[in-house]
Amino acid sequence: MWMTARRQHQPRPQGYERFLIDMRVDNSETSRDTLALTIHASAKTHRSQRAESVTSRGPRRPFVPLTIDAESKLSVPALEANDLLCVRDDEALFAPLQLRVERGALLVLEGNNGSGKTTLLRALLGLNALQATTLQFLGEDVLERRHALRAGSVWMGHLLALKGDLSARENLEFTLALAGEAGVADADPLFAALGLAGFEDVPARTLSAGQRKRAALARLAASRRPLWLLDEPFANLDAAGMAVVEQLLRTHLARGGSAILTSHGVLPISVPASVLRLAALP
Amino acid sequence: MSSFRPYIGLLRRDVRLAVRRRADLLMPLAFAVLVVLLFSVALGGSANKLAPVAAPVIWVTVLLSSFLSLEGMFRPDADDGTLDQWLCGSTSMIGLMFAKAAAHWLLYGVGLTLATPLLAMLLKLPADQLPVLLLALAIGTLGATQIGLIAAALTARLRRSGILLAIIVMPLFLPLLIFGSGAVDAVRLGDSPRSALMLLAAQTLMLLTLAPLAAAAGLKIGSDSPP
Amino acid sequence: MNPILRWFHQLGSPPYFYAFATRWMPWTGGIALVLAMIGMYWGLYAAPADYLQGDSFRIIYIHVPSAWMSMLIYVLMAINGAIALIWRIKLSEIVFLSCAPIGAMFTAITLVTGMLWGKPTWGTYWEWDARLTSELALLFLYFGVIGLASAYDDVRQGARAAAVLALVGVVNIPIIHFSVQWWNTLHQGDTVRLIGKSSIHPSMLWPLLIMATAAKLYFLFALLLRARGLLLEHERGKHWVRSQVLGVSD
Repeated sequence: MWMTARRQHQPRPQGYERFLIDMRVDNSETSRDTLALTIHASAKTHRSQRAESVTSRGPRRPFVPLTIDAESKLSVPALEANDLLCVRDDEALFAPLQLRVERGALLVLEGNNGSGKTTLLRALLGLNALQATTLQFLGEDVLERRHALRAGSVWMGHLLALKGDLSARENLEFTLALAGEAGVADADPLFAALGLAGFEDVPARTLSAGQRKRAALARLAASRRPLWLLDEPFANLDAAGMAVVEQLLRTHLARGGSAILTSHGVLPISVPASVLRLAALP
Repeated sequence: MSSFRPYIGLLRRDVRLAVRRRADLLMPLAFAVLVVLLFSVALGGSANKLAPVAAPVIWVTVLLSSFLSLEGMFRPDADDGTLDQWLCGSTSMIGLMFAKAAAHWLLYGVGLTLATPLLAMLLKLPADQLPVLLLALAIGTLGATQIGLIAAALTARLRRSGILLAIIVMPLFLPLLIFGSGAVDAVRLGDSPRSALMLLAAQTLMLLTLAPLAAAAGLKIGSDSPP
Repeated sequence: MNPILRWFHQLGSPPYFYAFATRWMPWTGGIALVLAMIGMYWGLYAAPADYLQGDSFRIIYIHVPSAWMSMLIYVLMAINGAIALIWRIKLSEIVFLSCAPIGAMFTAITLVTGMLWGKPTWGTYWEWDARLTSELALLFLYFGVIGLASAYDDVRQGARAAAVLALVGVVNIPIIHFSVQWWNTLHQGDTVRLIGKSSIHPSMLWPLLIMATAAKLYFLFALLLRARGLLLEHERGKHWVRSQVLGVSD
């Protein structure tokens, strides 16, 4: 519509040419881990595209949160995006990226503070403004129908979404219910595996920071959704906690799930991953 | 129905959170009694001074008390990241707003309405006005909850919003107040309160359908802030 | 494309709007001033006095246009707010933010002139009649919009939040107005009507229309002035500001 095709009067974002991407593919242990991850920095400036608003347009149809077991499209990449760009205040945060995460693969977003890692994750979910030529989740175009991506993914942000007055068990119950996911009948083994045995029923505000992080991880352990978007999952965790996260990731990836996580240093675990490094534009 | 699980879950969660902090639940009631105390003392305490103004004072008290509980509607969820989870989740925000409003009304609106006989006794309300007052308050507090939902959603991520909430909410409370105290006034004059109650119910129904939309839109606005 | 639509579309671009505002500000301001002087001379001095109220009725030449403007500006503000919410056009947000203080000012003028008119007519400065009560509610609706927009750190988010509030307000304004009128007829009986049921005499009508036009042009002038300022403030680092406004060529 004429109203939405805005005239481009602002200058092209500066510093495209200074954008760095560096890609490492770690050694893979199984054939599933060979990642077809292609990223290249495109120096061409993008034409003005309609910025994706939070409320995705397009026909809505009722959907059920996707589970890994119900999904049989193993050959289709979990997430694929072309010319992906995050915009804030009419300026791009980084050069357009090509993003592709296969089933059973892990992608790590690396970068210094402020380079846009968290913004990129939030933008995929529709919380921040995003522009892309295509954005496909499990083969389906989700650029205009972001709720389909949200239905199949789990987001764990820096803020833990834990209510202090509720216990870890109740937090898990309500988080799953609010997300529309099936509850867990017996959560004791789950909490034991997370290292919270004996702490499931005390108010979450009495737990330490590391214990609260583990309580928040219970959501991941109980979720059946194919894509995990994790922002700094290793923050506040000791070595045992990081081992818990590693185990969760390995189980998830082995089932055919995918994950994108952010980290601002070297990954403290040894799961095979491909790395996408974001550098902030000045 | 299984598809209502998220909304019933939110209702249960809010009720459980409120019950865990019972003091916060009783604050609006205590405030209402306090306001009535101030009015009674200022007016002199005699029945002939208090009875004519009893119903309007109760209405104003209930509206001011319901306004007190608005700060806690979305602020805790915004601060600990629950709001972001709802926004990146797959459940309908509008449905969640309905559930939130239902929880808030059950906890605070119904509570204030049930406390009204106490306030009526303190203010020496004539007995024939009480049933209509209770009915009007039950409907009016539902409307007030909806207005509060919009205002709380728009100010959820601000640092402190006390007076701003009051300024936003009070003009919108005006029709509820007019129709609500008009209903009781009709009983006082011997007329039928039906037209006033119908208008009150119409306003509440309109708010019931439109407020969750506005509240959902308001909550989405602050989401694209730096995390 | 239809030339009118194209013109609207062009106005959405900040540099074009800046040039447009700079060009039209002197005209709207000048004509508004001229019309206001004519209108005030005619209304406050030359037109015949009302046989009922004497000379005090002359305040309507300021009161009524202000009242019309206060409501018109709210509706325009709400329309711009809706455009800003749906299409996220930055200029709509700026026009929205600029309208609010102007509308609040007109509402305040309506209230003050209403009070000045009330003193000789009712004997008191304030009566809770339908018009003044709903203007007071409108004033607080404006305050809410202005307060909410300024409470946010990010100006664009603040404008969008205030736009939601303005839309809620615009739906509620007829309800508030109707409910206050309903309440008024219950409690006050008939107040002195501003303009009687009989049609208004042309000698009274013309100054009123001239003042109304002057008010609209003044609103445009003030809007362009504010919008220009806000635009510069929010587009500070942009290329067009440097080249067009400061004349710095790259």
